[in-house]
Amino acid sequence: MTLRAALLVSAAVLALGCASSLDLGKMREKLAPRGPEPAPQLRDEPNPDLARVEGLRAASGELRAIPLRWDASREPEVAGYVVERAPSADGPFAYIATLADRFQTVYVDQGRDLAPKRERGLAGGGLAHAETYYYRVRPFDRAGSVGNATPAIAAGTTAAKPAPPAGVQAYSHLPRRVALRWQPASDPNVTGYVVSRSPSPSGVYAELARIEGRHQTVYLDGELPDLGVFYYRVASVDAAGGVGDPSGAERAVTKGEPLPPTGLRVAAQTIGANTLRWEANVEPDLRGYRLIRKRAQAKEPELVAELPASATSATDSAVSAGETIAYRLVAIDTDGLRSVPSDPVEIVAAAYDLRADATAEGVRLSWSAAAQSGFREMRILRGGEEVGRTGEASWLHPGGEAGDRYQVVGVHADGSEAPPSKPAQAE
Amino acid sequence: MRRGLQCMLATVCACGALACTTPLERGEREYQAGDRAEAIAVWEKIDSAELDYASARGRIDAVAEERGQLIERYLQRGRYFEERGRLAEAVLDYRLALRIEPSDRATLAHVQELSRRVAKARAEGLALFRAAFARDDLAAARVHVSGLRVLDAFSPEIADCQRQLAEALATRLEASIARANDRLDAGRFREAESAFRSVLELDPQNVTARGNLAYIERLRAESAPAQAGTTPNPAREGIAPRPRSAARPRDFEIRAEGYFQNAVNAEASGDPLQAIRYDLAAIDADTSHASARSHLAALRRALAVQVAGLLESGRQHFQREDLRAALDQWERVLLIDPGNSEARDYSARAEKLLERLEEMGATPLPATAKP
Repeated sequence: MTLRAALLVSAAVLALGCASSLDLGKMREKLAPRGPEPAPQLRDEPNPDLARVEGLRAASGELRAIPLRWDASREPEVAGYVVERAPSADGPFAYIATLADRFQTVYVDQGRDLAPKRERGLAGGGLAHAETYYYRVRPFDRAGSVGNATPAIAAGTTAAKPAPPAGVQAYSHLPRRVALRWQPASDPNVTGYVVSRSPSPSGVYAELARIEGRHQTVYLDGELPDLGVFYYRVASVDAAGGVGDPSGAERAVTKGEPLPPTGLRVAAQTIGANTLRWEANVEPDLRGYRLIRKRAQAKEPELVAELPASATSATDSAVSAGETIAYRLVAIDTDGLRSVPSDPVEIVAAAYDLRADATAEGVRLSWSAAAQSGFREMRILRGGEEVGRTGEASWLHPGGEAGDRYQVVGVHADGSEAPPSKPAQAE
Repeated sequence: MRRGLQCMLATVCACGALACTTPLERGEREYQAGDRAEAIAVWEKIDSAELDYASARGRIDAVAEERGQLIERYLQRGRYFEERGRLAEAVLDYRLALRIEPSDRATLAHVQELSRRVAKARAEGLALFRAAFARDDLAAARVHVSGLRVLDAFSPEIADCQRQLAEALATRLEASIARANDRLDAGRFREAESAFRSVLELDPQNVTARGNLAYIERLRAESAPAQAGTTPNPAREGIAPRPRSAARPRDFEIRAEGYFQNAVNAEASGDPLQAIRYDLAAIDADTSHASARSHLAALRRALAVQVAGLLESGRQHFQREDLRAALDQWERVLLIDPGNSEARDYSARAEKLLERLEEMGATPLPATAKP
């Protein structure tokens, strides 16, 4: 807002603030409708000869308005009517309108005047909801003198604020969102709804949305945390902008991420392979698992395999003999929500337990029978070069000497090879 | 050019602010973001030679205690729900405890076991409900859906079933009550009584039906002395003119009488506190319901001796961080003695703590490494 605009607004506000201290006569002039025949200036001297207005009726149940009607005066000297309003039957009554025609016998009070009202703060802002006012109508003559015969009084009440919508239902277990629905208000004055949310049932409810349309009865609250608990209320809004009392609080919880898998353990080990098992997760919409490994020397964990929801075991075949690895398992559901990783399981991979003993005949190599059982044969390496093969759990290298460094490599039945053993020095 | 300068300035300011942040403040930031464990970890790293060391130790102790209390409150509330068969709510609370203490393996295992139970019971209950609903046995469907709502208050599927049933029941009850009222207006008491009893088969606590049945009984009682010894009692025979003295009660009077009848039944079935609730509802519906007032007064007099015990029991639950159970006890005290200031104060305190727990439930999870 520019400085000039701000000054103009301030001046306007100041003028409005001063209006209450203005002369009532001037106010009456302002209130008089512009028509072919302008209303005469009302005079202070009353006219005792004018008969009182008959048949005054005020209708109730309108939105922030009270319509009035009365019978037209039969006296030709009547030039119009003044309408007065009071917050109670005893008064005080204040002018709210001047109607400059004998046959102008209808007036709808919307409270667009500065006369006193029940609800403070609405002095110039119209009638409030569910308020009762009292009216009287008095005739005035062509000279502007108002009749002083005791007038009839009629009472009218504005419509109450709209009732909260029925059947508010919050859908839980949706991923990071909550869906709300409710029944459309039967009150045709309802033009929309206000949805509000709080983290606790009796806490502070923050307005989330204003929804236009009586039949727009759904709302999706998104970008919520996993496993978040929230309370929702819905209030109806009427055509006059009145917001009714909210519905009762409806609790909803967003979908939680899957539980961390449990029971992760080593099920079998062979040279170069660790097989792990775990308990199946309980979530009905699980997409699968991610098996993660972290090698002892590595800085970052790495993915071993993505597995379907039906899997409860997996084999890691990229393991060095005797290597230490920590495994963790993450569950993932169909909405892509991931569990916290399971507890880590640290495993020392199966090793050859290679020994190299220097003897008079050469170097006697031996390894564990368990390691041997998984392979068709073993390749024997000295200084990285193959020096022999065997299907037994030991082998003599006749040309070997103390100080030579050996490794063995298991060869599977299909010809593929396991990782080599750690080097062993002949002693 | 100007934009570039602004960006640079902002970056410099941000870096400056970061550099000025002490570990104590960084921990505080983690705490405010809901990650208590990380906050403690940051504070733990403050060396004993640093100025903030004493403050950090103080915060570590305070947050660790708060963390422990929160976990215990969630666990206790989970147990509270579990004992009452509200398993989905129990699972939620156990999970909220696990969120703060992810390494609690026992709770995790229990949550998994409970989750399996909920899934199984839900599937069975839904099958039973659907079968009952399909054969138009609304009374049985109502029983099944009530059980399901207790079991799993969050299931959208169960909520839909409940809504379907509510709509069907409303239509059926409305028609039955209208039919019963027509019979009553026509003085066909036996038929009216039968129609109101059929309403109770669908909705055992229906206050309109109960209120009208009591009214029919009253009509019979009033007409009996007049007819005694002469001709058979027409009211008992099923058709009778309404006695002049017994003008048809207004709707709110019928409802109030219905609540009162429910109160009498609740007391007879050994639940005097529920009887008090019904009496209060009766008085709320019709402030001039004298029977409900005297019944309520009598119940409160009879139960007054329990107040001290209930207060103490609530205190014990409270000390064990079992806030819901404590509240239950103090709410019972307030039913018996609505002016009991001790129970009011205790309840307000427990409610505030529970509110805090609820607020915690809405905060985002602390960021976790997701490989």
